[in-house]
This record gives sequence, C-alpha cells and structure tokens, in this order.
Amino acid sequence: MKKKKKQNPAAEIDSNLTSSIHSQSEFFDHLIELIPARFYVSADDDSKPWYQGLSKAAKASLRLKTKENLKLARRNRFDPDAEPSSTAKLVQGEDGENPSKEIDADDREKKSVTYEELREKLRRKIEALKGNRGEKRTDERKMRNEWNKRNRENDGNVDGGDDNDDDGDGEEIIEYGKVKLGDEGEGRNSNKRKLSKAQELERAKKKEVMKENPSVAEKETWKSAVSRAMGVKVHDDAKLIKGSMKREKKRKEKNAEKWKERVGTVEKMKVERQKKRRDNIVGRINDKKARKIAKREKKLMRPGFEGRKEGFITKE
Amino acid sequence: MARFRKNKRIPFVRPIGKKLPSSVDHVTGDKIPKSFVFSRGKLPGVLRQLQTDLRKLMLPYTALKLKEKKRNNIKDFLNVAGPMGVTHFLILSKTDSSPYLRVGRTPQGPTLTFKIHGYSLAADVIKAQLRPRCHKDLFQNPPLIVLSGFGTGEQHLKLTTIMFQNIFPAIDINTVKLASCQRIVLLSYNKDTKLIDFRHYSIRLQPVGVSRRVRKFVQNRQAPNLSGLQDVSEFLTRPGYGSESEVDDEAATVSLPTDLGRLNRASNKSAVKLQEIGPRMTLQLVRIEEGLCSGGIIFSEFGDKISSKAEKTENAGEQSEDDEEDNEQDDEEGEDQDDDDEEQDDED
Repeated sequence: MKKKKKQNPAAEIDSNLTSSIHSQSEFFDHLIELIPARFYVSADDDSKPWYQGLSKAAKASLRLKTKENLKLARRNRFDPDAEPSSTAKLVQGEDGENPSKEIDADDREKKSVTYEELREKLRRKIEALKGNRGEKRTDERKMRNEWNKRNRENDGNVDGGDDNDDDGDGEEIIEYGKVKLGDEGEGRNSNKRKLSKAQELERAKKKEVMKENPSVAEKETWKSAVSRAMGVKVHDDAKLIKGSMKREKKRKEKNAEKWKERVGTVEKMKVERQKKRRDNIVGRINDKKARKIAKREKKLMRPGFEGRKEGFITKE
Repeated sequence: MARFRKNKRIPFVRPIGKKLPSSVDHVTGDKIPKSFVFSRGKLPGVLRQLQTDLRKLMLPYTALKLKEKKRNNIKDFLNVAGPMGVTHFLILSKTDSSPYLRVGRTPQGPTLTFKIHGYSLAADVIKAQLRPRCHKDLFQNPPLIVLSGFGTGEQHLKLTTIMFQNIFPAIDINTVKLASCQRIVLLSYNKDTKLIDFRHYSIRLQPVGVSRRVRKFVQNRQAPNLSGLQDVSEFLTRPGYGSESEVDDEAATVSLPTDLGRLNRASNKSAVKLQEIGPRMTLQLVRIEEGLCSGGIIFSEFGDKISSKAEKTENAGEQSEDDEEDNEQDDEEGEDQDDDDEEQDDED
C-alpha cells in the first residue's frame, strides 16, 4: 500500500510534470514562432547584401540567383501539398535533421506519379495538336502574302516594290546605321591636334594647286564630300580660311584695345585717389595748425583786450 | 462695364520637367545629328502631307512645327541652324514633272538631289492595313536604318550610304536599350532600275512557340471566360487556327539578351515583326552637289548639261531641275540622240 501510495503520487506527479512540461514547451514554441526567424536563424550571407567588391558579372549573376531563390520560395509557400513551414522547421532544417520527411516520402511519391502522368498527357495532347503546323501550309501562305502585297501597292508604283524582300542572288550587301563599338576611342587622340589657321591656309593653297590635275581634283572632291557627310569639318576653301583669319585678327585687336582701355582707367583712378588722399592729409595738417592757433588765441580774448601785443605803435 | 484687356506681356515659361533634346549624346559623347524638313516653293496639299510625314519620321531630333515663310531662303535657315546644332536639311520641292527631295549637310556639306518617282502618304498606308498599330512612345526614339543593295562600290552610292547613316544618331551597343529600337527605315537600291525604295516600319517582338490563347491572355491580363470548359487544360490545348503571320523560318527569330515587356523573355526565341507606318517613296538619285544646294556638281545622272547653269541660288536650283527634265526627255526619246546632245554640250 505504501508503495502504491508512493507510486501513485509519484505517477501523478510524473504525469503532472509531463503535462506541465508539455504545456510549457508549447508556450515556448509559440513564443519562438512570434519572433521573426531572421533574428536567430543565421543567414549565410555574411557578405554584404549589396555584393561589394565583386565584379559586375558576378553581381549580376548573384542577383539573378537571389531572384530565382525568391521565386522558388514563393512557389513553395503557395504549394498546397507542402506543409506550412515554421521557424522550428527552419532551425531543424539547418541542423540537418529531417525526421519528418521520411514519413511523407511515400505520400509524395504517390502524388508525384499522378502529377507526372497528368503532365505527360497534357504535353502529348499539345504536341499532337501542334503537330503538322507549318508543314503543308507554306505555299498557301506565300501566295496569300504576295496577294496582300499587291493589293497594298496601289500608288502607281509598279516596279521595285515586290523584289525587296528576297535576296534572291544572295549578293545583296546590307549595311546598317552607325554603331559605336567602344574600341575606337583610343586611337583618336593622335589625329585631334588642331592646326592653326595659317597652317590651314597653307594646306588649302596646296590643295588648290593639286586640283589643277583633274583626276586628283575628282578624288579630292569625293574625299572631302564623304568626310563632310560624315561630319568631319573639311577646310577646303582658301577664301573662307582667309576670311576667318581676318575676323580673328579683328577680334584680337578689339580685345587688345579693351584691355588697354581698362589698364588706362585703372591708372587714372589710382592717380585720382592718390591725389585726393594727399590733399586730405595736407588739409588735415593745416586744420590742426589752425585749431592750435585758435586755441591759443582764445585764451587772450578777454573782455577789453584787443589781442596780443603786436609791437609798439611808434617806430623805434 | 468696359472690358479690360490684359496688357501684361506674360513671358514664355517652359514647363519644368520637359527636357529639350541636347546637342551632345550623353552616352557616346558624339554630336547628335538634327534635321530641318522644309519646302521651297509652293507645294500642293499632298506634298505638304508628305512633308509632315517626313518630319514625323525624323523625330525626335527635328523641328516638328517648323514655320517657314515665303521670303525665307536657305541662308536664313542656315543662320538659325548654326546655334541650334542642326546638321541636315531635307528640302522638298516640286517642278512640273515631279517632286524632288534634297538631302544636304548643313555647314557646307554635299547635297544629294533625289527625284521622287512615286510616294504614298502615311495615312494611306495605315488605312490599307487591317490592324494598324501605333503606340504613343513610337516616335520618342530615333529609328534604325538599314541600307540594302548599296554596296556595289560606286562612289555616289557610297556617299549616299554615308549620308543616310549619319542622319540618324549612332547606337552604342553596350548601353542601348532594346525597348528604344522601335522603328526602322529601309532603303533598298535596285541596280537595274537605279531606283531607291524608301520604307518605314515599326518593330514588334512576339514570343515564338507560345500558343495564341496563352499569349493573348498574358498580354491583355484579362481573365478568360472558362464557362464552357471542363478543365483548364482545355483552355490551354484548344486547337486554335494557326495565325497567318506565324513565321516559321528561323531567320526571322532572335533570342533576346534581355527581357522586353512581359511577353518576351531573355534567351527565349522571339519573332521580329515589322509593320509599315509612315511614308513610302521611290527615289532616284539625280545629282550630287559639293555645297549646300550650291557648289560644283560632283555627280549627275543625266549628263552635264547643267554644270554651267547650276550657279547656286535655289531659283537656279528650280531652273536647273527644269533643264534636267528636258534633258531627261531627250534621253528617253532615243539613245541615238544622246551622242549628238553630248557633242553639242562640248561645243557649248
């Protein structure tokens, strides 16, 4: 009896303990679920999220990877078959323990088989329907296209419209617009030296002389026309160069004039100010002297006194 | 009560946020070529429409609302062009026989004179189409240009290619965005007839290998009506008729380096579809002059009868075109007469 009594309360205590422990562990789990996982599940990018220090290509690929991971995660979240993931699972997953997965393997296999079958069926159906698309209808399509083209060209343009699209002989050379490839920047520096106007004049005169020769003249005109079309400024005409030289000279003269004028005014102002200063200084000194005399004389302005003794009235 | 007129002169304030197209390309550092499209002389209404079509074609680097007065001559345009950084002039004019288009490079560049054998207006081209498409950003980027058949090595053709290649700004391969290449201008030279075909298309990319229903569904983002279907797979696999414009040859499909919109994914095949917008012209290169509508004639299609007369005002330009008409007619009348004509010229 005693034993039983001892055991019973022990058993009771045990069961109480287990239940209380269970409830408490549940409580703690619940608490943990409330904390967002990122605070205690270590993310494996100690590296900076903005991928500092990596090359452009590496950054781009990493960004793509994160994108893909996000997509995968989203998919898994919305997958109706998968169990809703919890942070406890995350932590467990980290440690590498997957006890529950084995249980579901069988179910998953069963389900995947049915999915696979369905997918296969769908694919086969689509292919069967797509099947002969494009094989027999090319002739019909060509005829239809030509007919449409002929209908559209009703502006009196008889030739030249239909033969555009087929490079029948394969010898048509196709050129495209200007494309910058980025490797021409380095070689340009040598040619960029700007010649002075006098040198340009010399060159232009030489060109004129060369143009006496007709074949050379033709080549030169074509060359200059082509480079002008490309945007390069060709200084061909001696008259224009002379005109611009004259204009430049005039501009320089005008500027020199202005500069001289400016220097002159500065000098003048300086002189004026110096003069004024000197005058003021002299004036100040005189004022001082006058003040002193006045002060001295003030003392002798007694009533009945006519001033300082100047000397005897009569001559000695 | 008397009505008071607002005597205040309100200064013109440009709205903030509207950027003017700059002269220098920020990306490549080159100067962006800009153009003026205008006409000399009185043009009939149809040609005025062609002029506006050409202006639209050259957008965004042109003056869409350029106003010209009768008394303006080319010198006035030149004076304005300098400070604004305009590099090309496209001048339309008309004589008794046919309209002419002159393309010239501004400061003192060469001028190519084309005779327009035939043309269609943009409005007509669009009316003839079953499903015209034009979205609002179509004219915000400059068009690409493709020249075909010009590679025979002749000097005047080479100059023509270079001229046209430089009318539109250059593309930097490294930084260009696929979405900004939306229009394309096609010039095709026919050796036999010596005519140049001028076409203007808009580019559209369509993913290849996606069924029409799925594509429309993704494009329009409208929930489809599944009331009559038992299963979603029916929606996906319902045999629709293959579209007429389904292109099967591999040549017209490209694999994109980047995504373009929702439909065209990177490194998936997409078909390039061209739809014609804009004017259609058939041109014949008639003359190349050294200066801007002036200067010596470097190349002339119809013989040198003009060279003495082509002294360099546009009145003379009109006149010389008339002379050329006569010359052409002479040419066409009989080939035996050509030699005689040339001999007479030498004597002159």
